[in-house]
Amino acid sequence: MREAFEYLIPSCVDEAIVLRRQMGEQGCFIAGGTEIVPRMNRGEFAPIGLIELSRLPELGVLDHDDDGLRIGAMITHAEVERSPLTKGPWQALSDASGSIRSPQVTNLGTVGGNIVFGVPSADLLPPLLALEASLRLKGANGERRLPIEGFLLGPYRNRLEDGEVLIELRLSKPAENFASAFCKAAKYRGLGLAIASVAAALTVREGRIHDARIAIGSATPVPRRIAEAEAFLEGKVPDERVLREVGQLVSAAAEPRADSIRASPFYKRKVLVPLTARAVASAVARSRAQSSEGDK
Amino acid sequence: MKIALTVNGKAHRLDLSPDTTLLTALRDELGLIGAKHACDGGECGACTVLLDGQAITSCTILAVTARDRQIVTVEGLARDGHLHPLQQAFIDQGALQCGFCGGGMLTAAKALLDRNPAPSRDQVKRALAGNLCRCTGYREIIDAVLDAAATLRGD
Repeated sequence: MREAFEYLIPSCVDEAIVLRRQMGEQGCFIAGGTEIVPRMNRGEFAPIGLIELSRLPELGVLDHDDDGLRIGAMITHAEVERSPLTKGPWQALSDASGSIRSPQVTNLGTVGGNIVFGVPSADLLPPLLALEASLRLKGANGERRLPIEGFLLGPYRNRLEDGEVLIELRLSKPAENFASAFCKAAKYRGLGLAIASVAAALTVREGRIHDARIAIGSATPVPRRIAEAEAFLEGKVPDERVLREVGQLVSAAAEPRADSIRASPFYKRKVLVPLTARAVASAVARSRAQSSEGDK
Repeated sequence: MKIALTVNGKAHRLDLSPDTTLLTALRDELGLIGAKHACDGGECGACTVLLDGQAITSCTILAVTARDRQIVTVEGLARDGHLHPLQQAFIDQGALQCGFCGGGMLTAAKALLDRNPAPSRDQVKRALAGNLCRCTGYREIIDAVLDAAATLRGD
């Protein structure tokens, strides 16, 4: 079986799709490898072959135009963290990318891998949900687009059809003074696998919060938005009481599992209260900073 | 599968099973044992090497994926028989006890100093957050990196 293992290096996405179809379901695309390679090392995953995506130029785009921001699936977490393009309204993405794991892992791991693999603690998901990203996918039957909302069906399960490739993310141009933030609790100063995480995106106008979007990770089967918290924040002045109350709403909506190895459901619910308050307060401060920049 | 690897400036052509990790290729094929084989899952940082100047864990990447790129291991830090200032500072500060984490610490620190010649103490901690040491308590390691940064700047 060892001799049969193949590593195929396509030169474009179309070729990758064809190779994957030839290899069948026992074959697998490989991106940064930071999930797949350790699983192969431990003997937990034994594909008949791998098809490399990491060096395909079509998947390595990071730029912005009049429509907004484009992030290729093979852009690494380190690239997202360092790029000047993921600042301003999209700062939550940069916050999350830098926190994923150690520098050695963020230098290899990719945006596409984080989304498609679909672990409950995938740190990019809460910001992408709050920023209402859309996904561009390509498969044997052509291209399609899906919103990130609903893309993950459950832990490790997503809406990709067999052999389909995630090409890129699209983030549409935000409203004026729109800002975002991401906060997570983890063992080493916010670095490493999340105990719980919160992304907030909103606009402050005349001292009040509008169009808030709140999404959480590591505290639900897959990251998701919390509609109750979003509705509650509409038109509110972000004082201490409002920040605590939105935290309590998020905490109540969480569905932490009992057998998590990182923290008990009790602790996850407890930590979500200040974590949410911090994420919302940070997004509010950033929105205000942007509006005062605009006044200059 | 024939795989071209450039390690410490030297080109190699290896015949490997494509599921061989970069770490195994370095250690078992090239005899470069400075990168240590420990957790095999990107948790401990003992196998850190540089890939095109960036710190990576060589156990989380296949050798074939690193083809045609510049790989630097801890063996590539010394030049013409002279230790790299980071290595000298690790000796001077007593930053190594058992030494198992050393190759990974030194390469992770080199990636930092190449990008940021004057890091703060916090930036050093963050750059080394993926490297575990069970002996020193880290203080001497961080001191050594800051010392080496000063030496490299000529302070």
